Amino acid sequence: MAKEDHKKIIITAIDQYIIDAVRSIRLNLDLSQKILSARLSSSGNTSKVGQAESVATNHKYTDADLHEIAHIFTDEAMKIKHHSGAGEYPLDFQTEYTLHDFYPKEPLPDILVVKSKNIMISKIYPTGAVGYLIEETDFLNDSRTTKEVTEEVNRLFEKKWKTTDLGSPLDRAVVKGDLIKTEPPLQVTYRKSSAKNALATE
Amino acid sequence: MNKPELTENQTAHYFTVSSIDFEKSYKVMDMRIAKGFSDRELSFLLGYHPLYVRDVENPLHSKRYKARDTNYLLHIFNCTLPEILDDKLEELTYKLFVVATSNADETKSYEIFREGPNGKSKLFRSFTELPAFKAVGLKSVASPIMVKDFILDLLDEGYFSEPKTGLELFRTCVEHFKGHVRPFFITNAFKLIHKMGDRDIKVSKNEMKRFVYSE
Repeated sequence: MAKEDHKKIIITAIDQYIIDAVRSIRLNLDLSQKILSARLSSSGNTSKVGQAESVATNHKYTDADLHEIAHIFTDEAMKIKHHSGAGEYPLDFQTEYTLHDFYPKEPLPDILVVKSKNIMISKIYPTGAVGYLIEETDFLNDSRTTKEVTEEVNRLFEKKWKTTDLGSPLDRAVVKGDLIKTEPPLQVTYRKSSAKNALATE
Repeated sequence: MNKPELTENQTAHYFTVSSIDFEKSYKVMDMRIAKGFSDRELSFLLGYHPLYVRDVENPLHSKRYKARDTNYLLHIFNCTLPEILDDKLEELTYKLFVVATSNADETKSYEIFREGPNGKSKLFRSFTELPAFKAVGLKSVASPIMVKDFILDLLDEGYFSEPKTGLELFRTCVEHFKGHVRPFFITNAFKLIHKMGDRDIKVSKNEMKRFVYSE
């Protein structure tokens, strides 16, 4: 699932893989580009993650960055698990991250690719899928039911999630202020908050 | 650490490095030696300048293997990622103290001490650079002349009509001779063929910025 870009920045296949892996896990853990950049003490660059994920620059991660990101992801995942109720996250929710989560299991061909923005379907959780819908698509510019959201993420990420898998991630995005929810007796729907909409169109 | 007593040919250095990068440099060094490659031979297989690997292994040099190198090293060594890259270390950085000794044969020796959480330094590693052209461990099943003759055969067969990486050439030699071949014998063969006058192997770079060889 790649977003085409006409500027065609070229990077190595392994650098692209690593950027995609970090991005997929970052979305799962509900960490924005800015927050993750700010927590990367080594860089002193508050837009490091945004630059790495941008298809307009050839920035990529070093192993020192990835090592620090693995520590940050582990801390964040532990916090989430600690503060979450039963059933809010999948039973196999990963709480320990290492550099090896960002590298492929087998070496990749030594080739260049056009830099693109991708999600790793094998690594994405419902929280990451909702984050993707909010950050990268217009889908939630209109009010959507949980069923519609579920169908959309299942279509995008080739998953078989149930509506119950998406309920908690959507409600957490409401608490964060990223989404607005219409409550019963009206039909329950979600759409992007005006603040998030403004950010998305920047 | 107390100020060490240094001889005239020694220098002392205190600095901080990325722990994961530093460990990787020496995990790769261990794997390189286990596979029978000198630092210059591994540079050839990576398609880089002959001193590239020596610089990475020099604790005082800032050069480190990037992700693209890690990926290519997996191809070269035919090994798994954990063999050359730690999964995670407790500390993000190491505080190091290094004593560098300049030897009479123009190589350098390094004693690397790492400061522990209690502030005490422990020896992390010590080693001496390999002089140029010196072999490591594994014996080549083919002599320099055999490798040169084989590369001349490859030239005749049109093998070099398409540019070949050092790794491709090494693998072709290993397959032909059915055993370990010193990459140094391959680069030496290029020089011998050049001296013969009538044939030559051109060196250029591919899109990955690795040296490639063609006719």
